[in-house]
Amino acid sequence: MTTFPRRFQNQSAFLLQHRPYSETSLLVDLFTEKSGRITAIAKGARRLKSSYRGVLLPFQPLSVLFTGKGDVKTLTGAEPVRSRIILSRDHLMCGFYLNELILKMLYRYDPYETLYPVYERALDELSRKSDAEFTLRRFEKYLLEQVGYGLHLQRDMSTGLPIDEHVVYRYLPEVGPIVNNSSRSDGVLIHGDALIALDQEEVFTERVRRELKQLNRTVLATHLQGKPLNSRRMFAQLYPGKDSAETQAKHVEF
Amino acid sequence: MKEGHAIEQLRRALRRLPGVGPKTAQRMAFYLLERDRDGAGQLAEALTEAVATIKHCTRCNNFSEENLCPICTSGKRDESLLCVVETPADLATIEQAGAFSGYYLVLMGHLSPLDGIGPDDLAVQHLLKVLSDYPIQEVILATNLTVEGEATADYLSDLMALSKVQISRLARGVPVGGELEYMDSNTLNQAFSDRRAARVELA
Ligand SMILES: [Zn+2]
Repeated sequence: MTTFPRRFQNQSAFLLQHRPYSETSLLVDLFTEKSGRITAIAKGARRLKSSYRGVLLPFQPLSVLFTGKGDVKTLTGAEPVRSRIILSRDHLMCGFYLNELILKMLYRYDPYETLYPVYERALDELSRKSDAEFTLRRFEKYLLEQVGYGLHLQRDMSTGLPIDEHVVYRYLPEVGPIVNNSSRSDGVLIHGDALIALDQEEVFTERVRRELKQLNRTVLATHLQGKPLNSRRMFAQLYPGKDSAETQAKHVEF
Repeated sequence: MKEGHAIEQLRRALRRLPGVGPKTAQRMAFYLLERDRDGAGQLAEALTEAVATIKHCTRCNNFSEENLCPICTSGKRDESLLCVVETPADLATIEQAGAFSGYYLVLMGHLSPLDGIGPDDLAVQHLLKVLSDYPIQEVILATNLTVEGEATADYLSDLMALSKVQISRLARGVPVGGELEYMDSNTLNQAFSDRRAARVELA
C-alpha cells in the first residue's frame, strides 16, 4: 500500500484574502489546518464557469489540495465542507481582523495545527453574534502562544507567586506581569482578576474588558514591529460609537 | 546610456497596469517599439488626452468628459430611483442589460478592511449629498455579492437608516437557466433564504 505524502492530501482551510492574478486567476492566502499559512495561485478562478466561483470566499470552510515546491503553490482543488460562516457588520469586521492577524503574525509554511480549530471556533462564535471582545481576546491569546510569545497569566514574574486577583500588576510585554511598585512607568497596568479571567476564559466585566484590550494590543504591537492593523483602524472608522472589539484607534500606538 | 533609461521607464510605467508583471511589461514594451510604433504613438496620445479631459460626473461620480455624464443629462431617467454600484464596469453591465431606468451612484470601489480601504476612500459623502439634493425614494444597493461587497452594503444601509428612503438590495439566487445540480452550495443556500412567495392570489 502506498501512502501519499502529506502535500498531496486534502486538508481543511480558510481563505484569508485574495487578489486578482493575471486576467483569469486569483492569488490567494489560505490558512490551512496542517500547513499553516500558504500562498497559492488559483488558476482560472475568475472565469465565469470556474468551480472556484462562490467557493473561494473568506469564512467559507474549505477542503483544499495544492502542489508546488516554491513559495507560491498551485491550488489544484477547493471544495466547501459546510456552508459559509455568515458574519455581518461589526462581527464581520472582527472576522477580517482575525484574518489580518494571521496574515501578519504567522510565518508562512509553519504549521499551526492547534490554532486552526481556535480560529474556526472564533468565527462560529462571531457568526452567533457572540461577545466579540471575549472571542477576540481568547483568539489573540492562543495566537501569541503559537508564535512563541505566549502571555504570562499565572505568575508574578518578579516574585514567582501566583497571580492575586486583588493586586494591580504592571505587565511588561517582554517579561510578563510584575507587582506594580512604581519604579517603572512602561508596560500596562492590569488587575490580577483580568489576568485570571483571560487565563481561565471566564466572563469579562467591563473593567476587565478594557484592561485586557489594552494588554493584548500592547503585546501584539510589540511583535507586529510597526506593521499597522488596517482592519482595526477601519473598525473605529465604521463603528465609532461602538466600544466592542478592537475599537478606539486613537489609543493605538502603531 | 540614454536609450536604456527610456526603455526602463516604459517598462516601469506599464507595470502600473493591474496584472502586469516585469516579464509582461517587457513583452509589451518590445512589441510596441519593434512592431507597432504608430500604435504606441496613438496610445500615448489617447492616454494624455484621457487624463487631461476625463473627470467625475458631479451627480453619479462615473467617469465623464463633462460635468454631467450622458446618463445624468438624458432627462428620461426615473429620479426616484438610485442604484449604488462599486465600479464604472458594473454600471456599464447594468446599462447594457437595460435592467434599470433610474440614476446611478458609482462608489469607485468597496470597503476592503485588510487593505485599509475605508469609507473615506469611496464616494460615501457624495452619496449622502445626492440623497439630500434629489427626490430619491429608493436606493438599490447593487454592490457585488462578495464578502467585501456585502460589508459595503451593510455599512451604507446603516448609514442611511435614519433617512426616509427605502433601501433594497439585489436578490441573490439561482441564475436564469441554472440547474440546481450544478449550483454551488452558497448560492443554493442564499436562494433558499431569499425565496419569494409563489402563491397565486385568487379573487
Ligand atoms: Zn452621471
